Amino acid sequence: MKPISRRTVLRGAGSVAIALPWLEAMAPRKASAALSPRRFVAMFQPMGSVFDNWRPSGTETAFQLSPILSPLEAHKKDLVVIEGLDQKGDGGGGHQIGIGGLLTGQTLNPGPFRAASGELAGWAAGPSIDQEIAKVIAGDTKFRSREFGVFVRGATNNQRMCYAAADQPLAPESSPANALKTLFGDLSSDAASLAMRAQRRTVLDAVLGQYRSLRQRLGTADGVRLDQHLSALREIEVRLNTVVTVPAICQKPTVDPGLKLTDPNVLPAVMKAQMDILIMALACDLTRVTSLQWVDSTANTRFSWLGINDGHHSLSHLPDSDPVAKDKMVRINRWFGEQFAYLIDGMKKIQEGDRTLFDNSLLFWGNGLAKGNSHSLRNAPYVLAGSAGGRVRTGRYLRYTPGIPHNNLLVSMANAMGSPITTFGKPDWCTGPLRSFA
Amino acid sequence: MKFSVVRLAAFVLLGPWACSGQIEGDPSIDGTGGTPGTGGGSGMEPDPTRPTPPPPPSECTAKPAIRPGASPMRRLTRFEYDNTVRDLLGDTSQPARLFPPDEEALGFDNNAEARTVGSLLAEYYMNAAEQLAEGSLARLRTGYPCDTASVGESACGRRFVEAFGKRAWRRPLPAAEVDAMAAVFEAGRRGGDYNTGLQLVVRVMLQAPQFLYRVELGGTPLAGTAVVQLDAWQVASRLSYLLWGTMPDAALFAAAESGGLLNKGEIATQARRMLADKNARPMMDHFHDQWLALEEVDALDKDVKRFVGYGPDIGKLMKQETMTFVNAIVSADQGGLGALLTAPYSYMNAKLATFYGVPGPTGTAFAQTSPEPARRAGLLSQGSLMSIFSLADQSSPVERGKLVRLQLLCEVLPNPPADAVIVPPVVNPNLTTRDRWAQHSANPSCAGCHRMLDPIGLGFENYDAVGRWRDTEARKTIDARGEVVGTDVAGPFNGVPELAVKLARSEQVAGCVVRQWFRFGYGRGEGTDDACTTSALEQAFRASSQSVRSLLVALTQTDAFLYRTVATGGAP
Repeated sequence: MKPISRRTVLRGAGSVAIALPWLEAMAPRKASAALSPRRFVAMFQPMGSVFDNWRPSGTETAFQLSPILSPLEAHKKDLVVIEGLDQKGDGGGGHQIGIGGLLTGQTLNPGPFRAASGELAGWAAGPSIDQEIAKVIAGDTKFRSREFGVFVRGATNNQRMCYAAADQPLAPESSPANALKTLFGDLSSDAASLAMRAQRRTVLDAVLGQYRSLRQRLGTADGVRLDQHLSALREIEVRLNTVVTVPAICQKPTVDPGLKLTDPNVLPAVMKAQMDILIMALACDLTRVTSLQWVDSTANTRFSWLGINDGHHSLSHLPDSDPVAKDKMVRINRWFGEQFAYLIDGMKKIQEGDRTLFDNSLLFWGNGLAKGNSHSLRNAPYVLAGSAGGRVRTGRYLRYTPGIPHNNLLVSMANAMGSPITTFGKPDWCTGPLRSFA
Repeated sequence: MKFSVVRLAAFVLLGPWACSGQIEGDPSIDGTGGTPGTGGGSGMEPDPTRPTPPPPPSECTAKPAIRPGASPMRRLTRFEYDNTVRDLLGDTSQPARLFPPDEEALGFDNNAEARTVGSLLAEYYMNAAEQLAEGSLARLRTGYPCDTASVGESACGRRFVEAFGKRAWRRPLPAAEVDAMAAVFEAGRRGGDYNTGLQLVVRVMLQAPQFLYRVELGGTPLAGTAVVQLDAWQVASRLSYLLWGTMPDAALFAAAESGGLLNKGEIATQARRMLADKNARPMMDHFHDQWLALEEVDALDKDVKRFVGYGPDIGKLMKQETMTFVNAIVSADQGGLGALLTAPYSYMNAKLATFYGVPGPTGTAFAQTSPEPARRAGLLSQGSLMSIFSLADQSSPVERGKLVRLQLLCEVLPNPPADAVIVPPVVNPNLTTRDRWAQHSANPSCAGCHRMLDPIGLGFENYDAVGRWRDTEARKTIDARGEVVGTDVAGPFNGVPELAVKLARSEQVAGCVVRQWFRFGYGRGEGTDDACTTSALEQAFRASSQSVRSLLVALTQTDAFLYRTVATGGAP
């Protein structure tokens, strides 16, 4: 497709006329929901929940939300709250297993990353469900998936939730400014941008040539690592050659350039910026598969904006009998409910034909643990939102009997996104799709 | 829980894997002056209280086969990338600080086998290369002058490729590479101008594997083996990244150019020169940041109502105390590991001394001070480690036990049993830490491992959760008696100084320090083929009164440093 190089003025959602010289091509999305792609969003929080303040009350279709889920009240009819599933897991410490298995349903391979005890564990032993879903829905979008993070420091299996394959973690992007640059930075079609892309292609060709020639001379282990680097470069190459057609609703988000990523007090602002970019990346159809990772599975984040000055990890290890600690954990978890609600609100504002972006999406809110002070992964708290284009019956509170593996939920989510898989993750831990889900 | 205890016992038995051996290899490489471990240290009388080291593996005592161990291709860490572009391009913007973090494996950020590149990092490499090429153009025009009017733009471009390429890729470029990069220059020049050509060359070179990785191909194969002796350019890079965390300087390049760096003596001489240079300090800090978990010391979660006066600024000063202390001992080469663990002095400024509540230097500058020497035991009594290995509201015998077991003894403990409730006892003004933790270690499902940890950690009880000395807790006199279970220095002790003396005597601790430097220095874990390398390092460490500086020189004298193993499936 030939890029359209005209300046275009359009009206955004807020009816403010904005010039979009950076758009390469524009085509209003057809007003048919059937043509709208499905999208997937996974949101991660660490340290477990507080079960008696998390679980709703009532029946499957007539239920009341709990204190932690109360920020989602306006979206109750769009939720599926799931109780009673166990995240299986082994091969590492509780926190390592928790984040590594959440989306992979896998054990951890042997490897060199220390748990708190000093015992060693490696990366997850298989791909994560978002990548499985990407196979089905990514289409020819510019980015097969985008992983967003907030303040993700360090790079061990405690910091990685998404995997392209066994031992191939996908690092989340923690910088909103850079996320913006990568996603929206080369969409422009003015002469300078075209020249910039042509230069990048020249450079990349030469770089790829050096990698290919080195690759032939390497042994197995180095070769595998260089292959990963090569495919990362090829992804950039494909992207440079992809002509994007963005829908009219697409607006380049802005990021406060003053956000200092080293200052923990700006965490909520970074979270909001990442959510804004994530939503617009989906709305612009630059990608259809995204995840959002809050810090990591062990971080001792201080939720000072809630008036809580204890570290999240320290708090999560206080006894159940400590009412002050419990109240703080409830407030922290409710804050994540607010973030999930913000994502839903934002996605509902994006009109796609007679539906919204939200209607065409499935959102997943998962936790690195079920319960913090025991590292338990049994009876883990899961919340889904959105019907994936009418494929998920929402407005439900599902209770499962203990022992059913959360791998089954991963299968059901993939099924809702159009994937035909019948099992996912470690085979021993999966018994098929979740019954009574569809 | 029995399972875990059995496993723990196995780890403990594996722990003191110390043995002695000779650093001896191919005679052609031995050269002169290559005796390792003679860089300093005053020699030491045999210590009758020191446990006897195990004998060296028999295969290392006779003339051994050369075994370099695994030789994975290493990629620059963020630390190394920033240092390298500073030295290559004069750019001090530290672009790699924004890169996704380096994987941290076995405690260090440079483990070649754990590191992966995904599209996110590849994008950062691309963006950084573009920014660096643009930002350094003027400096490059000055640094690589060429009169395009008389020489011609194409010929100047080719000269630039050769001269800049030799520094960027850290060795001369063969003709095929010069041709490929000259073609990039021409493409840039055609699409823009001379400067565009230069910039595209820089962008390609900074994203190429020859820059981002330490590619070690070629060298001299040893007949009949899968072992290759590195060439001089590769040795120059190994030296500079090991000791300075950056590319070789002019002297190293000159030595490689003139065919030097091919015998142990010359390599040791270079290593000593480099260790005496101020460029060694960032590498030392980087090691200790990671080994002792000092990176987070200014972002600790502390109950500031309980610990009045504590704050991130104090954390920063504590880190400065530890770094000043370590570097003073290592660079003056006085006392070695023993001093690191037992020195009755430290380094403070007025603000830090006031926080600790001890008399000390006046002013903001750090100076050596020795208040209450009977309470001091080197690193182990410093506020940095005492506050890192504590909880927000109380000290932690478990965390401090782990400091000793994991970082100093290189032991590995099993994970807690699944679903075991892990809660520290609640602070109670009427109970001491020892009383409160006694209940936890009485729980049979936890006691097996915690008897390895808590009795060590309780010996630190005179130091509170922010590293200040205390004589009493809950109106009772602190009981700082402890016990080391297992290891080659098993037995009771009273207080940190006694524990420190024990640890300073331990062959297991010495072996552990050697292993930490092995992992950091070689960017990998030690494997079965490394027995003689490790043994040689331990021997060099011991022979120099456990001088860290001598150990660093010794790191440049081993099979693992001087050779590589041809990888399965790889070209020689």
